[in-house]
Amino acid sequence: MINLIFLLLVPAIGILLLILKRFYDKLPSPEIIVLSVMGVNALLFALGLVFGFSGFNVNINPSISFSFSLQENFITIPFLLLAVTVPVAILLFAAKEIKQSKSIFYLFYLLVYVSVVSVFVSSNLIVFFIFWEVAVLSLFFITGLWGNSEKGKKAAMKFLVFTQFGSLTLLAVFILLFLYTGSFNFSVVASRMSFLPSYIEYISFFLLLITVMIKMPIFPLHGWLLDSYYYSPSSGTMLLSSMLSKLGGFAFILFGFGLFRNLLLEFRLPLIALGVFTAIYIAFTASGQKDLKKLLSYSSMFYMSLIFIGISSGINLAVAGSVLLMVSHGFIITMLFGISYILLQKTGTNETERMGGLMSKMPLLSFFLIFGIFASLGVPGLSNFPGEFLIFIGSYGVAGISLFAIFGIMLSTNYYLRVIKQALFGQLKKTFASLTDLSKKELLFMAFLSFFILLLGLFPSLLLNTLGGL
Amino acid sequence: MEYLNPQYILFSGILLLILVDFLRRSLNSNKKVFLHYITAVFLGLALVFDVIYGNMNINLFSEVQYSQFVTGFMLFLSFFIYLFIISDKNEHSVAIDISYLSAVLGSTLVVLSSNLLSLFISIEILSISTYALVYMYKSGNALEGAVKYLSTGVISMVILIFGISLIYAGSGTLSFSSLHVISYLPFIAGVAIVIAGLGFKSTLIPFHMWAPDTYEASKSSVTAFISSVSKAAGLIAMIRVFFFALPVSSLFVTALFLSIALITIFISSFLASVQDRIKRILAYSSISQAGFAFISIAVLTTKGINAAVFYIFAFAVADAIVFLAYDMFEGRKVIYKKESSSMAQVSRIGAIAFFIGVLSLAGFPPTIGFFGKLLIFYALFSSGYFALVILAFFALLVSTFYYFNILSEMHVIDRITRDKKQLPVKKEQRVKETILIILTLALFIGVIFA
Repeated sequence: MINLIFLLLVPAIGILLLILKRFYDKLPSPEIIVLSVMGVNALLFALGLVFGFSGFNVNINPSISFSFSLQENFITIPFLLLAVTVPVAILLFAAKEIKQSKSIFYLFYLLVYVSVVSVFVSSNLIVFFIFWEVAVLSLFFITGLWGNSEKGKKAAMKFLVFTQFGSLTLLAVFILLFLYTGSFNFSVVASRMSFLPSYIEYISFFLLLITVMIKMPIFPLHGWLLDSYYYSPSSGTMLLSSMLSKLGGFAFILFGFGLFRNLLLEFRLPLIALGVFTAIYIAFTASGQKDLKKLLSYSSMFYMSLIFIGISSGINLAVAGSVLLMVSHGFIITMLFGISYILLQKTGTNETERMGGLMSKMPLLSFFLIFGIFASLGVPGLSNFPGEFLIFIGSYGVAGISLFAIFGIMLSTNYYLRVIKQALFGQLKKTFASLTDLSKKELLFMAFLSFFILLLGLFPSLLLNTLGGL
Repeated sequence: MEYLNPQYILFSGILLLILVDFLRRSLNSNKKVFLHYITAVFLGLALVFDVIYGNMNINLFSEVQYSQFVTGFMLFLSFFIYLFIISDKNEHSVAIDISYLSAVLGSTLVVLSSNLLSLFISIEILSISTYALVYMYKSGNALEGAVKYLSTGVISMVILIFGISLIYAGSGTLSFSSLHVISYLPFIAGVAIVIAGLGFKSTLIPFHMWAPDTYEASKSSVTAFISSVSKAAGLIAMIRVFFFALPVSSLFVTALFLSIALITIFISSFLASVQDRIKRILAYSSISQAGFAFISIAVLTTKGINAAVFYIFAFAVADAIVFLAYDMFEGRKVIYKKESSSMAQVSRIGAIAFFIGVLSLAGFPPTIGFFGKLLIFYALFSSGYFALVILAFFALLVSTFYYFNILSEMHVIDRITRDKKQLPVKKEQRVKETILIILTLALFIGVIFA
């Protein structure tokens, strides 16, 4: 048995090493430290898959039921897979992008990493909340300090104020749960949900919805998305879209589906309608974008709204599909943002109209761009397909309206194909005559992610079998 | 054994200092450093005896359930703030020692008062010595700050004693234990006036006018004392009077309290976000912290009081840290918000401590500021004030905004590695940094008291 605390201890040692590096220059470079930390953690995770995980518990203050306790829950394993693998890929990429204050950047990077992992495994709500906030704070500093030099700080502030409101409503939910169940421990809370008066249940559910809708994000509360995705450094954008937005989905499944299932079933029609509306609205918004990074930001939100539809249908099948889609979307969006950054570096522009004919100069990059786009469109055999399929099968059974979201997929096919056409095909511009293809590191980055995209696409049952409780 | 109480220790310390100073009058000021050490020893002894023996229990002063904890953290903070103050080796006046000791004595006596008169006297001891402390460092506009503090303070004391006399007229007694039998009208008038009097001390809006100016005018390490220990004493006095002495929950009182608390939180947050100078931002933020503590007192339940006591502890430690750290930066002319990027050049440890202190003030986990806010929201929820919590959330968002405006300008994290160049470091700065490290650790360990 692998104790879950090790998954937190290893990054903690990494953080310590990064701090010590200030005093002892002989330590290896920050990238190596972070990479080895993540390698060890991935190994621990693999061992845990084979031998099973065991929980961890230390009481800190019994009077407010604050104990540092970690425990698997019914959706932990797929999310842990996401959390231990994707950052490795992002690291390969960040090593190229981040040039200044490296050790501090990687400090925040490890903080995001450890806090996302801890959120997925924590079983005490205070511990959950602490790490939830640490992730937000670290991303705030990554966006503010390494992002766009003019707009980065404002974008970071917008991100912080929006998500902080979401965090506070989540905190309110936790306090309400504690008030009526007398515990912050997740399993105790789950067993005492009948203690809640119905109006408290309604209040908590809507507060939770606000949190989720800010974090994922869903239609009226998505104002922070574009700024913080666009002005972050690309590695920050990857972290935001592949890890942070998944925290929202995770919380929705864990609390909305796990604790407030009756209310979720009661409100599923309006929620699904909201998800469908968001999907179509965002697909239209994305269609109008000329800038690749903006387009990808909106498309990331599009998939989050599909996930929202899946979870709010409250059908086990659709929720399982949402988990699959979240994991696979984490891999795909990281890859696409990576490609957009490489294109920006090589061609000097983010606008697809100004590219053209890149296929002839960069066959490898073009291959991976098309691969990523096809995966994201849900071509069978690639990882988005099983998730989308399950979501639509599951949600169609309860609300036919969910099929309208397929219209959004058609729209995204349109804009994705436009990207391929404008960027890759056509006449090569003279200014791009000296372009070079992917370097070995970048190739490794792409291959690593493609491996998982293919694996999850061909064998979705690997993940589905771990979702025992669904 | 009961004479080993912290208050006796502090009092005998004051007497000893006066005596020694009188006997050694002829010495020049440089040779009087040992008086500082005596003071520090007495403060430390008082802390130790508080932990071991608790507090005194005589007629006008009685020990209550949380008095040991509150006195303990007051002495803890005062001890380290004092060490910080004397590590600046420029002036050696015994007046500093005496007024500091009496300020600490006053604030610990406030916690124990069980009679309105003894409460008044304790607050008066505290106030008079803090006026002196503010003026003691004759820097810039210290005189202006001290005079403002003095004039508003004197008025507030008069108002307070007027309210006390109204309460006496209504009840015929001043002892907390027998104040329950009281006719309605003078009681309401008395409560309203007492809250005005105590509100000055704990800087609740609309009685806050002196605070930003005085905080800014006095030396930051003195501000650290005023905004943490002295303000904690004011809030604890509120708890003593309104929860233990006058245990009534009339609609009028609750509405009055809640509206004062909300006004304090909101106005101070908005005023803080338009300030330009760091110290003023911190001053307004300190007012808003008092508002948060008061909102928890305002619900007048045991949960609320427990939350308030813990929250007072939390913000007192954090305020002490940020003002002490700012004291180091102020010496190197870091005044405006946009200059805060040079904080890390002055002292890295100071900048990190400032950073964590501000995080705690903003209520981010895992610092005790977060747990304090958690308890407050818990208390509010358990009394059924849902809308109030949502309103408080909005105020918290505004405060997040201005706190992070400082932090994102600050580049603490950024500069730590990039700038190898640093201003020359003196020995006393190391002492100050050690103090800050100890206080910062308290921000994390304090959760065991929640």
